[in-house]
Amino acid sequence: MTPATARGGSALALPSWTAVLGAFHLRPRRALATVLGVAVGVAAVLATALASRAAVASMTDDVEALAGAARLEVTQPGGVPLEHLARLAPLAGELVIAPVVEGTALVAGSGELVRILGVDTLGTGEARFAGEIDARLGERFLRREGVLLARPAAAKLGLAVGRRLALIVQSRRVELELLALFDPPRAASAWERVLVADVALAQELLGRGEHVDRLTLAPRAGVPFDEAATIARVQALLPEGARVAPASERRADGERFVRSLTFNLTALAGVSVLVAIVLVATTLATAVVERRAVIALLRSLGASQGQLGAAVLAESAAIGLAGGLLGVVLGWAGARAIAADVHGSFATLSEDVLLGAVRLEPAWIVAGLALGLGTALVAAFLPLLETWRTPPVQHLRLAGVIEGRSHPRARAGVAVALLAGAALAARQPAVNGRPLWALVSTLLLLAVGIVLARPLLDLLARVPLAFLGERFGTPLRLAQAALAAARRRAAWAASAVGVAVALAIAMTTMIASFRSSVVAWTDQTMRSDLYLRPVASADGTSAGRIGSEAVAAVTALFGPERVDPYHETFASVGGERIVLGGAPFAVAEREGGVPFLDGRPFGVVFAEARARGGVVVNEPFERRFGLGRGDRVRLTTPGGTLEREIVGVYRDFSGHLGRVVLELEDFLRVAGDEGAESVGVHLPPEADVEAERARLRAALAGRFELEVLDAREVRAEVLRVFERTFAVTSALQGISALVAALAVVLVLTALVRERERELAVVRVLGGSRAQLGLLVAGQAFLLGLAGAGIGLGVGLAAGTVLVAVVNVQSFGWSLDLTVPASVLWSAAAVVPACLVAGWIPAWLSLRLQPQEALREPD
Amino acid sequence: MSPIEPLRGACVALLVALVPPQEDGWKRVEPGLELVFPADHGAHPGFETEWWYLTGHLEDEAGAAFGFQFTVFRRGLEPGPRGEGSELRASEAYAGHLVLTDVARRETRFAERLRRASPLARATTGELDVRLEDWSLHRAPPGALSSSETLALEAGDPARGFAYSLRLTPEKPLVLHGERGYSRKGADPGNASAYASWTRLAVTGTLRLDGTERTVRGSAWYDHEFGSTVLADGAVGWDWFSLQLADGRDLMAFHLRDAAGNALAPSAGTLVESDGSARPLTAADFRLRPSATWTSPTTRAVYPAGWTLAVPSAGLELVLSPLVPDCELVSTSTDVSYWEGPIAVTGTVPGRGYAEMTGYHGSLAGRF
Repeated sequence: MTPATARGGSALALPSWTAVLGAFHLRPRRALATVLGVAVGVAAVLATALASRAAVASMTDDVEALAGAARLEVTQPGGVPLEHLARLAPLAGELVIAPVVEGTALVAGSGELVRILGVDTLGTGEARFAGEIDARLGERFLRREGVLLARPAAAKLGLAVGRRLALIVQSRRVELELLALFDPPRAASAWERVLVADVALAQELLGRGEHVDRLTLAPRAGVPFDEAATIARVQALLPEGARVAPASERRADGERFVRSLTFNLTALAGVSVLVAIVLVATTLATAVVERRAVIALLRSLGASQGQLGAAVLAESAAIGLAGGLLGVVLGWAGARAIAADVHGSFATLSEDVLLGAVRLEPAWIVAGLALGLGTALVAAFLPLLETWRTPPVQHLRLAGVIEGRSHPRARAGVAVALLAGAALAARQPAVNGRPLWALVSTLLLLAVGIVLARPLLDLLARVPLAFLGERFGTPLRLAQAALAAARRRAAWAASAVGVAVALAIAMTTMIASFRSSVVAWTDQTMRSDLYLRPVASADGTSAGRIGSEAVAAVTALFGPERVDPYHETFASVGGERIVLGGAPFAVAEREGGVPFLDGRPFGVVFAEARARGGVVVNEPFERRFGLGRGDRVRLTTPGGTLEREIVGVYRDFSGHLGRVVLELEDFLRVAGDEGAESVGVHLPPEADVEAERARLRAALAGRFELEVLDAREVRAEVLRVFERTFAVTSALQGISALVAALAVVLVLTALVRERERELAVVRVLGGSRAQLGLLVAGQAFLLGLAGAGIGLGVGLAAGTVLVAVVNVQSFGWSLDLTVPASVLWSAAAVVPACLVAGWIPAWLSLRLQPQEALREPD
Repeated sequence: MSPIEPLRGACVALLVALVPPQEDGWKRVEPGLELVFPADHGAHPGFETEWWYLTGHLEDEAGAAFGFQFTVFRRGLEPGPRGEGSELRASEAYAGHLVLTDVARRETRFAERLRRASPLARATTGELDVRLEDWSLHRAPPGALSSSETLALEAGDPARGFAYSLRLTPEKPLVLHGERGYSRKGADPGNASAYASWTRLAVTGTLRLDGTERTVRGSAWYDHEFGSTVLADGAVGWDWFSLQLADGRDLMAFHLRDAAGNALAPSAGTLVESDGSARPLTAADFRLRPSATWTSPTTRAVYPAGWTLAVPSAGLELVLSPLVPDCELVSTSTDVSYWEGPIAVTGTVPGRGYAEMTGYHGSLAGRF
């Protein structure tokens, strides 16, 4: 019996089993590479998801852990005034009402962000923190002399009871004594970064004025609790603007807040899976083609298509599961590696996002395995086709395979249809704030690339190369012939390269557009000569605000006409949360501020705003609410309801919630003074910036912990934040490129193996090793060329979708489309990259012994 | 998540378990005290401790008898004027005790509240207006609604199934105990409280019990007391009585006890005639003797369960008997267990009243 029939025979008896073993026994390295491909794809998705979750969990999971027994929460944009406590008094027999203040501070020295949780322990049943507290410590806690920490948090901060912890909060350095430890209730990890303080201490530290962040409502023991009825009764006691909702809803709010970013990052990671699908498809299809003889024989012997299909699927499944498992491990490691970067991306949205620990829960392992399996099974489509297309009669042919022609017209038609679909999808609005249709559009564009890969390869295979002479022309012609013969799989390999290149180009285009828009915006917006901000954490997130005393100190130094404080709080429009800003319009009118979308100079707009008592809004606000210049906006603020005319819409990349900016006095009247987010100082033209900065620093020294930046540093800082936001994106791009490179190596290796006999013939006929190498390299070159062509076209189109649709729908930011020259370079760089990837198969081909390859099989 | 027991917690024991009063900061009630009303009905934040107390007897239309007690304690935690900073600063804490004694069912229901001073817990200065969560007691001056001043009390506890809404009208003028309200509690002249009472108020209103509302009427006794170091050296507790006699006279008497159970010198009382005129009694003017004991099944504390009270100068030989034996209140908000409940008066003149006995389950020394 021949080895082939031995394998075939047992395959017939146990088709799936031997097929599985076949993959690993016959081509262990290729099988490993395929598994690796799947693993990398799965790992990319998992790493992104886990790292995002670690960041978002601090906003969401902690919500529940910290909520304790509270079932409902009362919130209000800008904070809950204390008078609401009195309004709710009639329900106090049924509900324990407790004020809560929560905010972030920076651990002096380590620069770590921690959460301050201000609670009222007196009579509100907060037994959670009892721990080691006796009456004396309890009294000191109430006297605001110190804080409590969960045991793990104290260990993490290296703090013992009785020691003092130095914090920077609201631009001041404070020292708080650790009074006692408590055992964390429930989710211990949520308490790793939490300082528990008396609510009044937290209120003072965080500059909350006469309001708190929320009131929690917990049912009293022995009183039946009907959530819906209680919500209705509570709401009836509260004025407009205040809202009561289940405590769990804040978690959903948090998730809503960051969902665009989570979605975009995960979608981006999903591209790696797409590339992995292409990789597995090509590899398995190649394996099938390699075993055509066996399959043909099996079919002759009566193996049904179902049996053969099952064998292919089983092999795919094995690869998928193995890849999924490895992917879970790699993903977990990857998540830990990129957690800080991902956190950086989220921290630009909200300072409330603390970096949490990356945790691999069983559900994620299952998800990883499922993703691996799914990837491989989807990828099995192509090898299944190959299997079913193998006719029984072919088993007599010993030569390689010539695949059928592509049908260029049909493919062109499909491509046009896909393009039309992509264009249509790109015009659809966001779904639930997620740019789902834009994603569909991008996928359709990638599909266009995949559909066009075969005609493109055909085209490349027909380019006359005779002019290159015998030395180069012949091996390249052979390369063309080889690719044409295996065009189906070659097309998939080219598609893999194309998808990776397209992704790179799309991202490069988007990032470049973003960067140039941000640079232009920064130049227009950051016009202060000096710029104060609260001290930032180790990863660049600012904590707290600049207290009014510090602003007063700056104003005393430079005069009110030169000082430009910016205040911020939350308000709502039609029940939706927005950012309410406050800035001195007189300073903005003179010194500049923000670029307006309609091109009017800032001086004109702010003069108008001052004259008419109007407000300016940012672009995300206009997009979100459809309210623009000339419209009136009704704002529910901490201090009541306001109605103002919008006099201008400005470009803004610093947030996506939507922002309404009031004249500072107007703002302070309704929102109170809880400190400025930042303070700009406009110096006279002749001023010595360095000398003024030294003067300012000296005035602040010892009293306030603030960073004083000059214009150049601010600009650098903005760009640093920008780069940080996109660090993950670049990492994901790199992963896709890695998978694509794997695809090229695998396909070329397979092609070389398939063509062993032709290559041997070339050697026997006098072809030099160099020519042989050139033949293989030629295939790599052509694949690279096709991939680059597909990638460039699709990438530019997808980049446009990202810039014009995804950004607008996710964040409300319109960007100027900028296609950097580097796009061409990255496309061009694919060709040498493929040549490098082709090095392994080329080396394999040079190792070939012609005698071995030419020996007739038994 | 399970419902919580609101009064159990880290800091609840704080109200009276605080370190002994500081030498600095708090004002002292001194001889020569001049109380001015209605202003002095309000809170006195300069003093460390203050309470407003209502006890009384109610009958519903069917003749069922109830005792009720409503108390709000104010405890200063930070002496001196309120500085800048958060309104939520725990500068003072309020504890509330709400009791309903169902005489026929021999049952006592007790609810508590504890809050730091905040919009949920406050006592107005300059007028009687005390609010603690869903409980309130305030005074309405004579005016459109009534020819005389009235007190309005609204309090209840859904978990314990009772609530009352009462209008209380003084039937006698306000009584100032001791020397024009200066009620000495120790050898040191600063060891005293300011103490005023309406000894007889007519009560009308509604009582909601286990979902059923009934109309009630009856009589009540109101006390308002404040000071900074109230309890005499060596005192571990007190026995206090408020009696309304059928002949129109009212009697307040208290014994401060030492650890051996002996009455201390500052023990005192006030006899109020039916016309409202009041005469202070010193320890020498009355004899108070326990005649029986009752052991609490909860705390194992042994309380007197009957007394004889003699005021020879007033011709009174009275026998005092609890209407319900178990009126022990185990308080977590004040970390004090005490017995307070309605009593029947027999002897030379019949009547009814309230008794309060503290210091039988742990000494109160250094805590008041």
